[in-house]
Amino acid sequence: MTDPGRSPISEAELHALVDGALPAGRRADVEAYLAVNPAAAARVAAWRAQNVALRRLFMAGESAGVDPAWRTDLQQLSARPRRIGGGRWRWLPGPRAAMAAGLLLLLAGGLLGPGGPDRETGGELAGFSQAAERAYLTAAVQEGEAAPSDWHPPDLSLLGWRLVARGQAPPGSQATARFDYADRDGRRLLLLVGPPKSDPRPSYAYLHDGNRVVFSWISDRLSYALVGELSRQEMMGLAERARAGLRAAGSAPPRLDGAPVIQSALDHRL
Amino acid sequence: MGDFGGSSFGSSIGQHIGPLRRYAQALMRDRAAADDLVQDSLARALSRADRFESGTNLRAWLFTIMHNLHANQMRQRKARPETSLPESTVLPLTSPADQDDRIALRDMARALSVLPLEQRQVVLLVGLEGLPYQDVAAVLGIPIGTVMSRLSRGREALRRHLAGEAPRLRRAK
Repeated sequence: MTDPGRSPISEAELHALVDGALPAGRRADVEAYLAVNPAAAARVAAWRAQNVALRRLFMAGESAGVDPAWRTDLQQLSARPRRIGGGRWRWLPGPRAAMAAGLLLLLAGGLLGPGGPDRETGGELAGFSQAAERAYLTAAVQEGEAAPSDWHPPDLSLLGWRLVARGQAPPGSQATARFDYADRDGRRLLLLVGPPKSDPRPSYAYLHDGNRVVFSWISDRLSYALVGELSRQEMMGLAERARAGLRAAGSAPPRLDGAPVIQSALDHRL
Repeated sequence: MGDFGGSSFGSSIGQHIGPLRRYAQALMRDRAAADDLVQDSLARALSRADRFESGTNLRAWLFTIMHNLHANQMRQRKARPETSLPESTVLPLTSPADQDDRIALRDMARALSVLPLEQRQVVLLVGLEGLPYQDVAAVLGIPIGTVMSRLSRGREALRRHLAGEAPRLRRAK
């Protein structure tokens, strides 16, 4: 059936045609072969249909990159309490915590809603980071518009940041105060504070999302989250300043057991 | 130690969670078990991040980790053969589809579920995930010739299975 002088068409080449893996120079030969071999052409057509059916069956989009259809599923995955809540992924202090934090936040993907797995510290931080990132993406309260808060905002002016708004924490999160800062270049910084639901160990999580950085930590029996587009070094300086400068309204200065948490975040290359 | 956690390596891995999870579900037909496998694979990948050579194919590396974990599981379960699962677990359709279309996809799910594991792996990695043949060989740890023969047998088995059921699919609209 094939022309003399041409090498015969192999089965592997038929598959390569279906999968787009055939060298360009061979394509015409294979197609010429199929034109005179209806049985082979039918098989190739069936294999192509299989690929299409498989992708539709499992809702595959582009093979590379994040398929948006997966976001909902990722939410389910991240919300599965078996591992995150009480299993092997228990929150660890130190560098492994940073790794686990990154993974957990990847899984959470900004999707963990209130009521997610937050009995353990990992869930606490993931939920709190997510609330902070969401708050950062929503409009800040207008400058000067005060909202009731249990907290006096920390003064970050020494680091070049001034308070531009203070407002209500995102509804549904356990945060109780939100402070918006800006620097001279117009960059924004958000600080979210609130009591953890449980009584977790001091720990931290550090997350990049493009240029945006979310640093959250638990210390002094408080959850903190800072969000902004800035360097890690800057973020750590601000974190230390924010922690030390935050004052509960009408109460004594906070305890100082948070410093080691931020220091350990600073010590480990993340 | 390289960049970990929320930084570039973690973000890079994050881009592959979808495909990993999709493949695991297609392979195992049990969502909970598939999710466990993906979680274990991600945890292992992160714990071995320093062994990943940047510039090489991260997706193939992650699939390899998952394949090895899955192979271990299969070995451990050898005494307990795989059983067919309810249809609901093999039909992840969420969008309303044409009735004929749904039946066709359900038949595909059935056909896939009776395929031997080694053929199912290759058919899914190639047809569903679009991995190049040489990546499939690397992921599964088999020669490329074996990839091609498994692919061929798997696709032909699917074709025969689907052709055999085709008359039942024809419905008057």
